[in-house]
Formats: sequence, C-alpha cells, structure tokens
Amino acid sequence: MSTNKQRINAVAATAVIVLAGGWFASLVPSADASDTGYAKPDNIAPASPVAKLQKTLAEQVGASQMGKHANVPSGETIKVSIDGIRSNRGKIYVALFDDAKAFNSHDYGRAVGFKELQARTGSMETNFPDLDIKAYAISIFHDENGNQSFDMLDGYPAEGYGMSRANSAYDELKFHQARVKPGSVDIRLHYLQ
Amino acid sequence: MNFLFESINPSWVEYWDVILNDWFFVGALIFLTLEFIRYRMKGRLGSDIVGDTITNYITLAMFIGINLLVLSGLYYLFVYGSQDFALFDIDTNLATIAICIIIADLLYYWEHRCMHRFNFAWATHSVHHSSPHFNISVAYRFGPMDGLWPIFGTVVMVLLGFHPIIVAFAEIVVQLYQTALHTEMVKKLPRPVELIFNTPSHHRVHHGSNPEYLDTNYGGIFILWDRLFGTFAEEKTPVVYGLVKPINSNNPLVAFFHGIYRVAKNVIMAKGWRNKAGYFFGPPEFEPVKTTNHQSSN
Repeated sequence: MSTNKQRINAVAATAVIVLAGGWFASLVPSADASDTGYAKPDNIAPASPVAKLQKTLAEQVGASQMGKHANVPSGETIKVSIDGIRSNRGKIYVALFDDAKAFNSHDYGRAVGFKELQARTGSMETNFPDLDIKAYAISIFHDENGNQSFDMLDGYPAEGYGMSRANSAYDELKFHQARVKPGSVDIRLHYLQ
Repeated sequence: MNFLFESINPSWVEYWDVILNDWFFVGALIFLTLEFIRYRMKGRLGSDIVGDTITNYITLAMFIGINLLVLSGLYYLFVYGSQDFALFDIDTNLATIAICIIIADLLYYWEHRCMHRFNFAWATHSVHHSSPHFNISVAYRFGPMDGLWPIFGTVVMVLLGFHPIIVAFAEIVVQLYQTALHTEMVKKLPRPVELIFNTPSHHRVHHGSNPEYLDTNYGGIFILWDRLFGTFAEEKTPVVYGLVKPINSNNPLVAFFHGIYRVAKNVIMAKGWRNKAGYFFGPPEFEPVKTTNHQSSN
C-alpha cells in the first residue's frame, strides 16, 4: 500500500516527466527543415489546364534558396483554392512553408513555395507540385494597393489575408495548427477594412 | 541516424494504426489456438474456458459498439478542441513518436491505477479482471466504459503538442504491448527484461486476487513506473486469477454489466451521503462507516 507522500511524489515526478518529454520532443530537429527536403520550385510544366494558365502569372521568388538541395520529390501536390477575393485590384501572394519558425514569423523569404497571382474577384486556384509527403502551412495576402507589402493599420491587417486551416478572421494560427498535408486546401480571405 | 528525424505524414501513421490493430487481432487468434492446445494437453480444456473465451469476444463487440456510438464523438470534440492550445510545436518523426509512446505509457500507468482505485472507474475495468482464466482472449475482455478513461491522457498529450494521430498510435502501441502479456505460456523472461519492462509474469500478478498481489503492476510497457512509484509485486506464489468477489458466470451480459450493477446497488443501498460517496469515489475495498458515532464536530 502506498503512503500519501509516495503518491504526491509520484504525481509530481509524472508531471515533470510529461512536461519535459513534450519540451524535449519540440527540440527534436526536423531533418527536412535543416538540410534536406526543400520542395522543388515549380518550374516544371504543370499538368492541369488551370495550372498552365496560372504558370504565366506565377513567379518564383525564393528560387535561389531552393535549388541548393535537390531532394527526390515524391510528386505530391497541394492544390490551393482561394475564396472570398473582393476585387480585381493588385496581386494575391501565396506562400508555402515547411518550417515552423518561418511560418510563425511570417518570413516570406524563407517560404519553400511562392506564388504571385493577378487578383480576380471571387475565387482562384493555384498548385504547388512536386512536394514531399509531410506537413506544410500556407499563408496568403491580397496586396490590393500593389506596394508589395502586407499593410497594417492600428495593429490590424489593412489588406485581405488567409491561412490554411483558419476558421475565422481572428484565428492567429501557429505552424502546427495551420499544417496541411499534400492534397486540396481551401483558404478564405478575410478583409477587416 | 537521419531517418529518426525524417518528418512523417500523420496520415501514414493512421494507416499503421489500422494495420497494427487488425493484424495483431489475427495474430492473437492464432496464439489463442496454441493456448487451447496447451489447455487440452494439461487436461484443463473444458466448457468453462470455452464459454469464458466466447464471453471475452462478446464483451469486445459491445465495447467497440459503445466506442463508435458514444465515445468517438466525445474524443473528436475534446481532441480537436484542445489541439489549438498546444504547448509545444512538435514535429512528427520516429524520435518524437518514441517520446510520445513513453509519455503515453506513463499516463496509461496513472489511468490504469485510477481505474483500480476509484469505484466508479473500477465498475467498468473490473469486467476485464472478472475472468478466472488468463489467456490472450482475456486481453480483449472490456467493460462498457473502458474506452472513456484514456481521454484524459489523450488530451494531455494533444495539449503538449503531439499530433492526435500520433497520440492515438502511441496509445495503441501501449495497449497492444499489454495485450501480448496475457498468457501463461511465457514463464519468466531474462532478468534485465523483467527489471525494465512489463512481462507476462508481472501482468499475471496484476490479474491476481491473492491479497499480496492486489493493486500492483499497473504499468503498460515499462514496469519501471511501478518500481518507482511503489506499486510493484514480484510473482512468487501461484496466481489466483479473477476478482476478490468472483462473478461465477460466463453470461456475457453479467460479465459486461456486473461492475456497474454492483456500484449502483451499493450507492443506492448505502445510508447517508458519506457512504454513498465512499461507494462511488472510494476504493473497491471501501466499507461503510458505522453511523452510531456522533462524536464528530458537527
């Protein structure tokens, strides 16, 4: 029979092991974020007609950092459907991340895929082909005034924005909450102003 | 060593879950045949063991039914509700899955210990312990609410930041490891194994109704938790399997509902809220307090 002191010690030890375990697991480096597995740039001829149309609009921004590690891609595709675009003005920027820190800090320079689309009212689609089977997160914004930056006003977004797996305009998702696997992803743009 | 840290898509792990569970079930049936041959050779194979085995699988069917109809919705709600409050950002790879399994095993230890020490949970877990036999089919003998209690550990692990599918996988690994321990065919394993891991010998003790074996060896994969937390007992005298108060029945409905029936009856019949609470929240050995003593402060 255990004494109460034993029980309390056991519970305390358990709490420490569980928390330390979770913390330790979060420190485990992700192999593909550090040295391998960057998604290849999508300069390969896209398969679908929709993607062909968009290929002319799409421009690879972070291409320089991507050619470095030629990993054998498993040919998975993320098809992004963007809804709720309110105007034809400006560009829609779609960034694909595989790194939690880059996504959480909105560091578009470290995105592994990047699309610049001419905005069209309503909905649009774009593809990120030749990806690995793993978790990605997507961040989108609508640069209506064409100044190539995401404008804020009084601490709130002044331009339309969206993220994978966000349910409302006020969802501020971290990478692990926004992560999606290759397949179809629907993202709604939100405009606060 | 890079393969340890290669990211794994959780949906693949979901596929491992199903494969593991299903093939383990098939493997267990084959192993059960061997155990029946052993019973036969020892002259122990009778209608009682056959009836007990059939009852085990009927309780499994009822357990799965309740899980699908009632508990799956609850898990969905709690798991996806708590996912947004994750403490850490944890990638899915072999290294983090291994850590998740160790945490799942430790949380299982506590879940299991609580299931033995609180009457309201013992009401359902006692079904698993109500068989007077010990073979792999007993591992599949479940009570009606056995699927409910893992939810606390599940939510804790999701809150830590493990992907829900990885958490489910880790819990299945712990469960299946335990399943394999339900046998009399393996006597003792090498000493280092018996020291660190839960083994058929340790788990036979856990199923014993011998006074010195009661409330011991709760561990899933690691017996270390029991050794650390003072709930360990070594298999010395022959184990008498089953409950302190046996059910003496192979009727699947009696087996499945006896625990809930006993607790409900005790709570309803008990006099005074103190005794009712004792029969519900107290340990299985709870005895009602004598009501003649009026010297307490109120």
